[in-house]
Amino acid sequence: MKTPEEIGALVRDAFTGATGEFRPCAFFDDRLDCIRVIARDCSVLETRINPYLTVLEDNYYRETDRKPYVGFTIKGARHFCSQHGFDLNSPIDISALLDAILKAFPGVAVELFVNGVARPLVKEGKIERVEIPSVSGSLPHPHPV
Amino acid sequence: MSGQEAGLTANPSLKLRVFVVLVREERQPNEFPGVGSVFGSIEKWNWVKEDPALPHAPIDWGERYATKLWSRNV
Repeated sequence: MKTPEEIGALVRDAFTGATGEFRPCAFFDDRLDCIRVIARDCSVLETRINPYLTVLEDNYYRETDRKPYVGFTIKGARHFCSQHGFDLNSPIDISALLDAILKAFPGVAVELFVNGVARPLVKEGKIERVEIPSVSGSLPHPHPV
Repeated sequence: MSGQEAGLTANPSLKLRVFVVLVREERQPNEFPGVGSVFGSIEKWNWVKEDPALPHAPIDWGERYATKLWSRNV
């Protein structure tokens, strides 16, 4: 069993030289089968819109002049994209994906989420596409010996 | 690592919210140099609103998890 100090040292070593300025991004979380769109890096509150959509809200936006919403996630992404005709062999246009979400989940909450939160975030962050590997893989962590 | 290291700031925990960590147990432990055997991975973590009916649990916990293994308020 490692001590907290040893774990801290391991984490510091793992990220040495790997830090950089955050950029708005969209990526596919293979292990949890979800797309994550992150416009700002901060402490967030996750709020579910429905079982597939979650919005990310800055925990401390009230103390600043920043906007409250900083990202969102789409769960069951691989299945959803396959069912709605997206080609998993090429990057997926997020705007088209949001159109498909609106059609798949009609209702005020999803409409507010898509048009009031998701579209402005991807537009302001210039987040246009996301890649979903067609074959499930593993996390990009260091290879075990 | 203390809260003041590496540009981090220590804040009090947020009211009416719980900190949720998703952990996955590995089917077989992996060996990492300098670390040893790794039996699980932290997938993600975030704050979630607290369930009004079950303190210390995330809201809608019954939909999030298949089984309640343990809670502070049984």
